[in-house]
Amino acid sequence: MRVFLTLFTCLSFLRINAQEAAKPIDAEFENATIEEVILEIESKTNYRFYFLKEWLGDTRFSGNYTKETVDVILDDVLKETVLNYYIMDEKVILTRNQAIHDEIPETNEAIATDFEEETRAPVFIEKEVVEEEAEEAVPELIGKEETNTKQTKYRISGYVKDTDTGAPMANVAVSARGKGIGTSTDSNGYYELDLLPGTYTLVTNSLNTRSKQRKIVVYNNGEVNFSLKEKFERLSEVLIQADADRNVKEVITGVTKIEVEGIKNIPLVLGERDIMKVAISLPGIATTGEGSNGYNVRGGKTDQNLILLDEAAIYNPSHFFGIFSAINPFTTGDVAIYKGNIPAEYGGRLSSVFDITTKDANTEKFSGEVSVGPVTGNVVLELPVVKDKAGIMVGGRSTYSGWILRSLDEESLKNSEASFYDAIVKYNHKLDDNNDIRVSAYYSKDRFSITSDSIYGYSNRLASLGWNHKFNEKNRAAITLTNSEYQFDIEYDGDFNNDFALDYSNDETELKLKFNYDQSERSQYTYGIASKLYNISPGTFKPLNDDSDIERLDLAKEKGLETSVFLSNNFEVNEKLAFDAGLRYSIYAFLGPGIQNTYEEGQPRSESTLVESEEFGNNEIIETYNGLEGRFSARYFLKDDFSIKASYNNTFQYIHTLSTNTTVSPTDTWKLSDKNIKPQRAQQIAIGAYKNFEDNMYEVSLEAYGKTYNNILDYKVGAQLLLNESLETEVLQGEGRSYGIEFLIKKNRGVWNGWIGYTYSRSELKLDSEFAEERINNGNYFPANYDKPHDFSAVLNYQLTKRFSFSGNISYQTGRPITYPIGTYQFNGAEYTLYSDRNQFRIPDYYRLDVGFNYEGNHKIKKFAHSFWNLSIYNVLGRNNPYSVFFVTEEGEIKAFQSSIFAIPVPTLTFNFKF
Amino acid sequence: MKKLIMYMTVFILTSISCVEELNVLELSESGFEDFLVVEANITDEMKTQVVLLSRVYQLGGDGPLPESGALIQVISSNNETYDFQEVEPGKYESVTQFSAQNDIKYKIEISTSNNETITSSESQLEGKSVLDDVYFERNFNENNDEGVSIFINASDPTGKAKYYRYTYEETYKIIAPKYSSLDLHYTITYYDTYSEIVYFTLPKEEQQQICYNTVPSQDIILNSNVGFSQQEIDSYRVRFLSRYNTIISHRYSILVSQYVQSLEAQRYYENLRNLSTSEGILSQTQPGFVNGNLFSINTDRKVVGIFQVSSVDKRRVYFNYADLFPGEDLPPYFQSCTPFAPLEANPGFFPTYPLADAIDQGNKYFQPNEDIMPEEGSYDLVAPICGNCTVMGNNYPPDFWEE
Repeated sequence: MRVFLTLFTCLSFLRINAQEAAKPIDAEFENATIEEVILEIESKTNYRFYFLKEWLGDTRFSGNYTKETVDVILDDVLKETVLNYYIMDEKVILTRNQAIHDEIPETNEAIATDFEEETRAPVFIEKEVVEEEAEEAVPELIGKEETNTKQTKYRISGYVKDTDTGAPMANVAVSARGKGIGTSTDSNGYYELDLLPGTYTLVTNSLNTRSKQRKIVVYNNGEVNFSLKEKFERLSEVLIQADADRNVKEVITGVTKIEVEGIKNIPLVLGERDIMKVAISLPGIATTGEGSNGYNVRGGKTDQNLILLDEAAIYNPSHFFGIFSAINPFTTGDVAIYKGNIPAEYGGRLSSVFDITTKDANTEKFSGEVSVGPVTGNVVLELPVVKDKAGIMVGGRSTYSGWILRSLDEESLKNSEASFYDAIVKYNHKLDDNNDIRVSAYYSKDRFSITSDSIYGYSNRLASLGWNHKFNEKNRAAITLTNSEYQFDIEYDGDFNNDFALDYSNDETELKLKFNYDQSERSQYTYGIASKLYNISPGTFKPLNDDSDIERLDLAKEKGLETSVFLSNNFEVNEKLAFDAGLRYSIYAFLGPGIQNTYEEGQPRSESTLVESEEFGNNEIIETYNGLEGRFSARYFLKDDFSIKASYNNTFQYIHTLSTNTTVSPTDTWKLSDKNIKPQRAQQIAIGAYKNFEDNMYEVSLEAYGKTYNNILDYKVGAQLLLNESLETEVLQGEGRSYGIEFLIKKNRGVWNGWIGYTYSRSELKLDSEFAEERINNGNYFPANYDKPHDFSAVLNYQLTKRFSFSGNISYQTGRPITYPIGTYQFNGAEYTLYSDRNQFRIPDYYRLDVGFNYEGNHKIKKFAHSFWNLSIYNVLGRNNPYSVFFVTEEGEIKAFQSSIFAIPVPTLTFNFKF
Repeated sequence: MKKLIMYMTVFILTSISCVEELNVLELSESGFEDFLVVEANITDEMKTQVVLLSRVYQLGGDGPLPESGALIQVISSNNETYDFQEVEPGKYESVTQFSAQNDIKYKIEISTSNNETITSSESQLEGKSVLDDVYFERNFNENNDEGVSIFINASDPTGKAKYYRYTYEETYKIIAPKYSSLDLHYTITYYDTYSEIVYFTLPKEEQQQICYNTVPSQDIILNSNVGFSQQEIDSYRVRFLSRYNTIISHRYSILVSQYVQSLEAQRYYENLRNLSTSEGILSQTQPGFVNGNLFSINTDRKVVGIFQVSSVDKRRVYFNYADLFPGEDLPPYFQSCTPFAPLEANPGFFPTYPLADAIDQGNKYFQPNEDIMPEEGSYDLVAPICGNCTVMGNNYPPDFWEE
């Protein structure tokens, strides 16, 4: 301001000379542009004009002047434009909107002399510190300032429209902030305001739209139009805005959010964009190996993750030995992974919740996305059903390998199978302002040869039904009904009469009722009840054909009901301190029909100590367990962009997987807690420090956690799990502990972006007992199958231009522990293999480098579709990473096998387009 | 382009998963330790008790490696000490005869020549069961194969026996199917420029037609009566012999031993059995070290094996194939016994003698070749096992044998 005034004073002084220098000229203009007029004047006088060419516009001017001074001509020429001029010596300075004043306005005097008439005051723009969005920082200039006019008020008018639909919006209040002037729009969305010249902030307000403000400078009559978004979308925008500082602001620890749009550039595996692959490049989330099923979150077992797709649990979210995830990236909205503190509304798993939501279908226009890669094709279509209210999305992905394999001449491949597909349908309907419903269905299927004579297949089937209801501004409810099934089967068709088919399946149905009560800005409650029914068919083993001598075996089905109530409160004590506290109580009943074995008290369970078998009728309660779980988390801001957090939580889980990880095939089955197998439990404490730099461009976080486990299911030496009718004799339940420190640095914007994560973690189990056979490794802690102390990953993108980018991906992990055969001995006249202690050895370390190159089609708005090419090379170094080493006894001789996936660099080219 | 895509897809699918065999020996080498293996089963029979000691050897390596020079004592809870002496490498026998007594606890102490001291937890007799009967029956097994099942019946007057382990020793008569009382011999005489071969037959010096072979069981056979109200074991099958099994061709005898053992021993054997059962690619067995009840006192090295005290009862039974399968074909012999007639000689600058070579390889003379075809000699030979049963067993019956 001060600078401006100084300049002003100088100019006032100079003005006097300038006016004295004015000389009359003759000129004639016929439909001339302003530029031509200026050139003409310059040619006839010594005046030199200073302006920006782009201000001049297309305005044409005609007129005849004889012996007129330049200022008269200019007054006429510029009358129809927003330009003002100022003559100083022989210089003519053009300005846009603003006029240059040669006097300091005598405001006080004016008010004193003419109170009735509002005096015009010249408009000066104060350079305010603008905290709003960037677009609002520069005020819009309305109209052309006139220096000598009697008019004191100008009319600002305009229309308010819906951003998405373009429909006019009535009853929207439009006011000038802090001035007490306001009006509201009519049925056409039109409004008028009479304002004195000056700087205003126009604000719109209405119940169902997001409030919007625009800064304007009124020089003259003008038009200011608004386009507003409906409020429900505002919420999501607020979220996105909050995302920038989520790292530091989130109250709970150990939560990771992945936005699907953001992962487009990272190198792909066989052309598949994969959310889960992104997840495992973040600290704390790992897999046992490439191509293994499941995720190990913070040293937890793979069965301890609740993976939800639209609220329905998905048991095997992977295709092809876990190389691809079974989640279609094009239909996925976002993924939240809770690895630290799990919100109280979720339960039944110890280590984490992966909350994956399918995005809503576009209700406005037909759109879609297509991707063509070397292994799969993927098509997603979104169709509006009721405009702006309801839409349906259909997504499908499939391999083409089936027909390629069949059409091959090569005998060894002709009969092999390798195919998968998945499909998803989602319908969302906004019934009215207070109600919306959604329905999703999902199915995935895999089928491939694991050996030349066996085919392994599995499928996931999910259905989810949700209804959200708003009672009032403070109370909301959501009711969800879900069902999911996971199934696998193996068909063995060998050379002998032992062809068999093996089937396994589990099914669960959940009804969940959740309420939200927003007590105040600072305190929100979530509470509700959920009930889940489990049904497991542990297996049938039957002859594959008539020639087979296999005898049919059906394992008894299992049934369990888990019911829980939960309550949680998010409470902001002050600007710095916030809590998230929750409680969850669950009760579980193992239900009949079934037979439960009782074993001799104080003896290891085995067929040798079986005392009796008790039979239970249908739905008879065989055993119940219950548990109270606490979820507590706190955040404290040390600075605006620097916070610390701490959390404690404990969890119960009533279902276990049976997996020894010693074979090539993923035949993990699930087992419900029963009389002999207790629910598993865990507790975790975590602390972390989070800091964002440079306006959230960089995020740094450091978290440390410690976990203890009880009743973790493990296996006796010699345990055989598949098709075992008395599993309780093969399993052990013991303690576990895991701890680790996770470091993540992330750069969100810029030419270089990406993240680097490093985790040091340990996960150990302890199986001790007074009986030798129940003691593993002498009852000491030993590394769990998934204990991989060092885990490093880096995902880096380099944006060459708007359309070209490179990306790279590095990952390194310590090899996982394994039990090796170490020798032979003779006993009772026969030879036996001596094995090492459990997990005494490790398979070689894992490392991999991938690179990718992306090319995006041009960004012209009117183009029918946006295209996107990706060339990736997976495992550039060609590292032969073993994912499992296993042993098979063949004719009394032990043989070792290593299975690995992609021991060579795999290049792929994928084409995507979106419309 | 189409071709390229196809090539790419096939390439990916074939490279996607790769299972390769590793060298077990290399993998195991780093973890290899020659732990002591102890096999000690003190029974309630009055006899010289036996303890076997050996060492763990490399996978695929040569073994077993007997452990010599160890000092072994079995110590009872009534303070009696039984010393053992090495009678052959790795085999130790008690200096005096003794038998395990009821309600007395026993443990073993071993000190090896490299100063490892090993002891066991205490073990004692867990009841006694009488093997009332061992009998055979022609029937079908669960796979619907026809054959002979060996069953046992047992009863337990003490009411304490719970865990049973069975071993057996089977002895069978072998009759060489293409037997001749003559043997074929030859002599070669070398001259300056040529050689001369002469074949001739001589009567056999020993009887090679009828033999007897005795083979101990290798399988781990376990049974328990926990969960059953009565203390009797009724018709428990310890052995199934397919009707196509050569060893039952003539006369067959089985000696079944029934051990009543502790739960600890039972579980040890169960684990051993689970780990050694042939594994398919689909079945999962959790590998690991099987704990017995032996441990080293002065080192942290592991000890393989178990020290157990058990009661034993034995019973023998015989049957003849002809009685069970009257008039039916014998099971196929161990090996095909089609006669063949190699040429006596292949003349030439370097003459060869196929018949002489065949004799040297142990093939037996059967009969003169009466219908000589081209490229054939004049003697019919058969594979060694077809004309000489001593390849498979002894040519005299064992002491216990009853015809």
